[in-house]
Amino acid sequence: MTEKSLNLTVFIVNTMVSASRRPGGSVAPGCGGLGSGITIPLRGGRYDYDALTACAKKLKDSSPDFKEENNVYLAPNPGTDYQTIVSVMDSLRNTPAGDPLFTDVNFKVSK
Amino acid sequence: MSDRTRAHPRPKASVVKYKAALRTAMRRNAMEPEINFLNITAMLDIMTIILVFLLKTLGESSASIPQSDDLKLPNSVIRTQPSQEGVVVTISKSQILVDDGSVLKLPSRESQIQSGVGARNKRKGPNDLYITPLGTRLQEARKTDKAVRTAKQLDPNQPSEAIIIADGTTPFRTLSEVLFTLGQSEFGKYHLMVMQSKTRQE
Repeated sequence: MTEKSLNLTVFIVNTMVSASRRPGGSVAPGCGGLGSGITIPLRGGRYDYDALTACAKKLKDSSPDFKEENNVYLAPNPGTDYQTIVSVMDSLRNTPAGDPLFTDVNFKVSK
Repeated sequence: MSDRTRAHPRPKASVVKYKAALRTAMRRNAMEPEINFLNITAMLDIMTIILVFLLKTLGESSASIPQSDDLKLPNSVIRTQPSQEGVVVTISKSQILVDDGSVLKLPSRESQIQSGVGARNKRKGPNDLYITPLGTRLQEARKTDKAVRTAKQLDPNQPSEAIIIADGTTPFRTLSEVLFTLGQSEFGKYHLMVMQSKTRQE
């Protein structure tokens, strides 16, 4: 199994934000590794954007091969509103300190 | 002795000396020329330059997008400047517009989540992503963009750019249909317009 690229996909549904990587699989709850479950559940009924940024940074820092990787794939639920998509993009693009994470956002559409 | 002096009239000066003395007196008593008007030409020049500079800065710093109940942009912490190039596609709560011209009316938000802009506006039914009236309008815009690129001696086969101005409540289903139709109409670069905010929107 190669570790050359992360191929991170972030799924946005009404109740949580989940992440997966190829090769690998789903990112486990709490962003602690690979495993099934909700990666980042809602906090106080709202999306936890800070946790998403922290998770993206942790994944990017997990291997030197991922340092130059800028692509991330977004797969929102059809009902996800545009404001949430923009906020998720903001969370994935930079750390609060301004360090770049995943600056090139691609959309995935389920048919 | 003093009486005798007064009694003798002073000798007359020559005309030359008189004129010289007159010129000297005129020079001595001449007043500085008074400025009785204000030349504002230079000031107007400066004002014009400042005005042009301010207008240019204003134009570059933000785009003018009217906000209303029907169209309220999402907030973002992004700090990049908005793009001025591209065909403007607006998705409000009630309709889709291209360059301020209405293309189609949108159904309710619940209906948009299920089938996007509606089956009657699609090429192959409700599950299709291509919006026919939007595609027709975008192809016209693409032709115009190609002609402009040719006139500017740029490569006309390069994909065109689009500026997406969408309401913050727009469901992803509708947004994805608009993006798909743009892609099918040879638009390859999209600028998503947002309102700059200091904090991330919760």
